[in-house]
Amino acid sequence: MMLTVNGQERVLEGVDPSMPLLWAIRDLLGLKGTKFGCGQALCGACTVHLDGQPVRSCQTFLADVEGSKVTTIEAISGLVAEAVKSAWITNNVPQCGYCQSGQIMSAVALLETNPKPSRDDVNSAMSGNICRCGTYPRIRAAIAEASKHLGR
Amino acid sequence: MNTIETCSGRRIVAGPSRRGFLEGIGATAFLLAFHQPVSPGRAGEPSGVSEQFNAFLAIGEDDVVTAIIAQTEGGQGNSTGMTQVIAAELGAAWPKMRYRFTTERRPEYINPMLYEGLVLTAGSSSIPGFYGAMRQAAAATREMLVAAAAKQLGASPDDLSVSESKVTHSPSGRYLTFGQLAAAAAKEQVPAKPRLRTQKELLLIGQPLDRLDVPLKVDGSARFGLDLEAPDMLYAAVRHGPAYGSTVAAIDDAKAKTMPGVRMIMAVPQGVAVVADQYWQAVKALAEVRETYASHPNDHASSKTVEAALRQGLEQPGVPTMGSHGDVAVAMKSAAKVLEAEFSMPFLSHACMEPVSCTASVVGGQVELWLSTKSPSLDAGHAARALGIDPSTIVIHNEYQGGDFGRRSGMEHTTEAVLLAKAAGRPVKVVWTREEDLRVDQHRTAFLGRVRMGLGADGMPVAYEAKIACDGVWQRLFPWFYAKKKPLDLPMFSLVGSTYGIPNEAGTYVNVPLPVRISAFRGNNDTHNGFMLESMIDEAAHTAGIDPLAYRRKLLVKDARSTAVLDRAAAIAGWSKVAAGHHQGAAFWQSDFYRCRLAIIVEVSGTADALKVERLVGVCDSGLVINPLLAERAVEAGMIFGLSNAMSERITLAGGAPEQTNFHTYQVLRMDQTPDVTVEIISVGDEPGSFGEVGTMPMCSAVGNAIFAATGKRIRTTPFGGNGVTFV
Repeated sequence: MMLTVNGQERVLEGVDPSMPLLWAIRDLLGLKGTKFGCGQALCGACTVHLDGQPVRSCQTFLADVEGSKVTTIEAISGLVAEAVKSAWITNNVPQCGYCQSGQIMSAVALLETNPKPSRDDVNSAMSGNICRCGTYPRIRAAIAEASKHLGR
Repeated sequence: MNTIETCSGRRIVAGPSRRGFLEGIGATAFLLAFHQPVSPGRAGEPSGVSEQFNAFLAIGEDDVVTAIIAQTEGGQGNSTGMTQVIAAELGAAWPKMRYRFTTERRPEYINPMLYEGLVLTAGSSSIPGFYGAMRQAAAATREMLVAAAAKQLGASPDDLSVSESKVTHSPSGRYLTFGQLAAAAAKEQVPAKPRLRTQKELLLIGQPLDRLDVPLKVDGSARFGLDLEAPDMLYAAVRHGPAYGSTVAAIDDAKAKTMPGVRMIMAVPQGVAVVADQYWQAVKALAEVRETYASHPNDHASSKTVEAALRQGLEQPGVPTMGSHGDVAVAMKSAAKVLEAEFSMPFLSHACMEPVSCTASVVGGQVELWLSTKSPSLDAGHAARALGIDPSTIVIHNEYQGGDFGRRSGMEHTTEAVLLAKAAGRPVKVVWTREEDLRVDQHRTAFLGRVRMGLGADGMPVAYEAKIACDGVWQRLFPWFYAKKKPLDLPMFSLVGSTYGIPNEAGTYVNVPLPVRISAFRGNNDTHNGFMLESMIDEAAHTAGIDPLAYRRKLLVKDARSTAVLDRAAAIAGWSKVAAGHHQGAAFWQSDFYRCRLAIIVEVSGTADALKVERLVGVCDSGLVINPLLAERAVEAGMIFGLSNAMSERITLAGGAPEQTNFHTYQVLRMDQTPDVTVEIISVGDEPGSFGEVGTMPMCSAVGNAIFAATGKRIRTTPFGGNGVTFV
């Protein structure tokens, strides 16, 4: 099967179509920035963009993504992504950092569609992403900063 | 001066006292390994030639100073903080600082605050435990750089000063950089007693420097245990038996073994594993394996049997705890009023975002492990026991941990990985699903406690009696250490003898062996002992008709550090001046081990049926602050972790196993229920204390006290959600 990952066409030979996209990204393509957290779309650590939409790659199966465009943390780019990553750095958001790829992918998706989210909008868009270290207040601050920067 | 060569060709200059130190730790040489390659750092290796001056730092010819970190980074920020300490004492320019992790087990890396012989990251003690040793090492290196510069510049060492990664001849302004001096300096005599900089000269101490690991954790390049790979490795999926300690009786793998990619199916100590070319193949095949388990005493364990065991435990005599003093029986008799209460908490799970995994290579006599670990000593021990080999030869690769909170001391996954790799004849990566991670965690002990507090005519406490039944941490995690200290164990600390100075106190600990694995957990004993004391103090204040903060202040009035945190927290939170419909609860915690004093104020609104946590305020003094940003974030994170524990976390048992299987049933705090948090850090004195766990310690009591303020209900069982409160 064929899919486009981070702008490159990738052919996966003889793969099981029931394999979650997560394991194809990590183990077959060697992109380790996307994380395994729960396997049940409950924690958001594995969030990637599929044709621009945020999806949980642990519950997205290869059979359903033939020909799609996948973007992972390693290649997320553009004005919104740069604003988000920059705000994450200036706010020193990460602690252990394991969930942060997923948090950033969710935050970018939020600001792509809603550049000036309210606090409720942010809570609602981000509550599928668990951070066990509790960086939530810093994530909210970073999203607010990125939003402000994009509004200029 | 002893010099040893490592495999990687780096020269390690051993300090003059090493031999004495080795003998001093009892020569068990607990899992010590020398001559090991250090694992490559992710935060930037210096280019070109680098001189390693001692266990803690190396200087490259490009001026880069690399802090060598043997403590593990699970998010607490210790890698940045430790690098900062070395830079401050050495006189290095911050932009020239890097760090790398090492898993070497050498005596210099054994934390003097912790358990003998172990290279271990625990007890929020990375910085307090190594502050002296790191400064000593950096100061010695600085004097060696000065000695080399003195020769090259033909100057007296007294005229040389060290800052910004340069040794400068003050009279002439001439200077040499660290990089220019490193090779010559490394040949200088190691000073036995280098001069340590004064507090004022430690310019980088107290600076809110950015975390060094942030960029790596934003672009996805930070590597965690689950990301590390061995060449030519296979993958394993594992399922564990129904009860802790279950062993496989029979395996039906007729279908599974014919499935694509499957290489091997075998029993592991507590379950069954499928080894395949790809992880997903292993997961799918494991779903088709049917195994049965031998009956085990823990098969019938349930939350009910645990509660019964704890209740029965409370009827046992137990052992008195330290901090007991005075005559409680007499004081209770003369008390104007005696409050009595029972408290309980469930098992908790660490639920680190990174599930446990271990990759192992067992080739001939050479064993290598790749994993997230808080202790290469413990993991080498687990692997060595499983294979019957010498632990000192085991090489461990460890980078960042996706959370720790007390979880990462290995055991089952390490054992499984080495057994599978040995059987497969190839490296194997074992990855536990979230379900297995919750099923075979190392839980915070469940506990049951009974307390009495006697109040005098003025309403102030005259006696405090606390008896707890729970399992031990040392007993379960460090049995060799417990054997020497018995019956001393963590639950006994902080039970009575608080800084409140209650004139008569009696603590009793009853050890009750519980049917799951017990281990360290963020805040440990202070979480349950603090829950009792701080809830009772609050209740006593209300009984006496005194404002709960003023009541605490009255008891703590002789300790200026304690009243300072209470006063600042009250000022920041607007204590007793909140909006209509909002209510506040407070808690205080003090610990000598952590050097902390902490005041927390929780603000809530609504009713018991729909309670909202509106705001958390924390003010913490844990001695000298190395990096206020790290300290503030650590306390904030600890408070949020504690809020999660308080609101919704519980592990219940049925048929020997935890009933919670993933994040839908083991519910941890998410953003929508996370309030705003304000933390202020007060830096005091010249000895650093701890920040990583302290925020968690009094959090359950602070939330419980706020619930009481809002609803009039005194809830003494956590989590509060489902035990009388519904949070929104």
